[in-house]
Amino acid sequence: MDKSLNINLVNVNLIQIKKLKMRCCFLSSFINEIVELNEDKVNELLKERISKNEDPMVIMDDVKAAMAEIGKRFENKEYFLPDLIMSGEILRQIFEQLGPKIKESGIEESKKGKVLLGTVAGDIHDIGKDVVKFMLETNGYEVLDLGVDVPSDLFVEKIKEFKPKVIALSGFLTLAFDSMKESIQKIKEAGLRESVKIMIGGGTVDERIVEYVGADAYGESAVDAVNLAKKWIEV
Amino acid sequence: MGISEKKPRELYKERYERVMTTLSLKEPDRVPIAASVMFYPTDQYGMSKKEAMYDIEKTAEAFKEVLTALNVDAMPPLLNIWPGKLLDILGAKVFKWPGAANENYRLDDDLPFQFLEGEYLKAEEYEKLFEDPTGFILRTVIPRQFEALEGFSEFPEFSTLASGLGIMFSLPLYGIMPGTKKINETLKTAAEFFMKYVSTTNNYVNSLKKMGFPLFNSAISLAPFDAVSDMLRGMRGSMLDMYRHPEELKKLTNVFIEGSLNAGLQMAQTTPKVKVVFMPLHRGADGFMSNEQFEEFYWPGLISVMEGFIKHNLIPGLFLEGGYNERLEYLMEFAQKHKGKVLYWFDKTDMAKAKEMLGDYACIKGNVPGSLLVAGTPLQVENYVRKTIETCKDGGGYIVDGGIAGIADGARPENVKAMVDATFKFGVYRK
Repeated sequence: MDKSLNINLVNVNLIQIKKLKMRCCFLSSFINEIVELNEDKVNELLKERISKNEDPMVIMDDVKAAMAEIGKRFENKEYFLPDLIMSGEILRQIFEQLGPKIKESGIEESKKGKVLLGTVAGDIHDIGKDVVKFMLETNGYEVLDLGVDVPSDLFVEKIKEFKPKVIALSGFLTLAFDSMKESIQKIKEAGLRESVKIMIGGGTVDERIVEYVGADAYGESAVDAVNLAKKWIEV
Repeated sequence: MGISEKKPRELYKERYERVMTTLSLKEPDRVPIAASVMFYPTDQYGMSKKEAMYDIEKTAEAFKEVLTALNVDAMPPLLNIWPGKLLDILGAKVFKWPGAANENYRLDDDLPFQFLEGEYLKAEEYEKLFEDPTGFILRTVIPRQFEALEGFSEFPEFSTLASGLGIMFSLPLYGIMPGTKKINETLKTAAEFFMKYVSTTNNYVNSLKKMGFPLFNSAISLAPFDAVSDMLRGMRGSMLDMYRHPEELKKLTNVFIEGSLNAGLQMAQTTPKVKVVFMPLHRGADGFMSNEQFEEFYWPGLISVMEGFIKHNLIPGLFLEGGYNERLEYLMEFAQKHKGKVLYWFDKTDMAKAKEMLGDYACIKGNVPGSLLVAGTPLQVENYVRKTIETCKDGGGYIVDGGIAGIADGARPENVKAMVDATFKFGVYRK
């Protein structure tokens, strides 16, 4: 891509942003308050928008834009776990006020692909897994989270039901290496290995373990997980 | 003179001096190796993790047999393997472990114990806790965490106890409540068990000494933020508090400074020659919080505890689990003020960078990866240890150990041997 085209793209973006700002100033400040994690302000602006009978789907679009920006800040190491947790909490309150139907229809559309996620058998740690889930969702993927201490058979069962393209296995303890190995073995035995790509990650896991367990790749962070999913799904 | 010809007393002295010289940033005869462990010795001894937690005497035998055969320079304490019986007696609801009497908290026999995190203190309870910390923890928090201590919820209020008539009436009344009966039994059994446990650990330390092996650390202590986050507010709660209740969070963290310090000091008294206090850090790692959040919520409380230990002539030994590449400046600043009086044990941190920044001020330890010990080959392990020794040995101040939890659970014995052999082979300063 040549430079002039780049500059044009930037200009177009700026013009769009200006238009957006002119259309409604509190709308963009709503996005901004979510991104800045100002819980009270968000709730206040949300009430205002609901009372004006705004289309909830329009509000949801803003929420998505805000979450995408939060995801970016996490990627850029401007945001960390406390900030992600806080944004999740703000999101929860928005969903509560907009109603459960919005949540469902909001999630249905524009999903880029399915990822099956879980902490493997014997391990009950969930921090890393939850961050991966958050980042995948804010990047538009549909995630089925099987939780912690997931038996290897359950992965197989859920692959058949949910039909994901990507499996993400998480684990914190070294015992997770063997559980990952067993889960992947079971997936192979069920004849499903060729239909999925498998990533692994978590505390003691690193690139040395990929071959040991028979996975396709290792992710050091949740950002890596998103990039792997992108690579595998969006080709 | 070869190792086999020396008397255990000489070997003990030699090993102890090797470690102490290294900690004080001087070059000993060889880079020491300290074997930290969780279940590696008991696994090798053919014990299940349940057996390891319930048969502490046998666990002590396993530690002695498996680890002394490796000729390490310092031995780990038994306390990394929590006694399952004591958790049963207390009716712990905050962990899951193999063989737990209560099936709700029971894991399979060969799984290690793990935390069950929760908001055992709720955000809206901060004020109540500050009004009367002891009373609130006793009556409200402990019953949530330990089933056998639920009767503490009825413990009479201070105002009742403080009047003479009140105490004559309300204390005996408390004594006849069913929950109190349970508490009395619990305390009695816990104390009996504890006496046995202490004597097992004492025997362990004494027999190690007779065999020529010093202990690396005996006491353990927590960063105050972790104490709040692990056992009271949970990770989620404590991190939301950074936004919603930052002042309360800091105030509560400060409450734990004295507690963390006293717990460590008390344990350290049992073994006066052992200088290192083990401080495993949980939430301070890169990625868990920003440097600003670290500086505001995590680091100040930890500094106070570390300085407290240093004042008592002890060496805070931080286990920096995960990566601490973004925090090396903080670690350096502290070590500059307390040269040779702090130990940093690294897991995923870049050791070359750590040596460069901290080498003049603090001893560093680590970081042979668990993945390598479990899934690598002896040659790969040797290469890793060699490279790390070459990077870190100059001027002393470096101890070989594994990364996470030392010798990781599931490590292959031939890899562990390669780690030790490489230390003997490449760690020599002078013959």
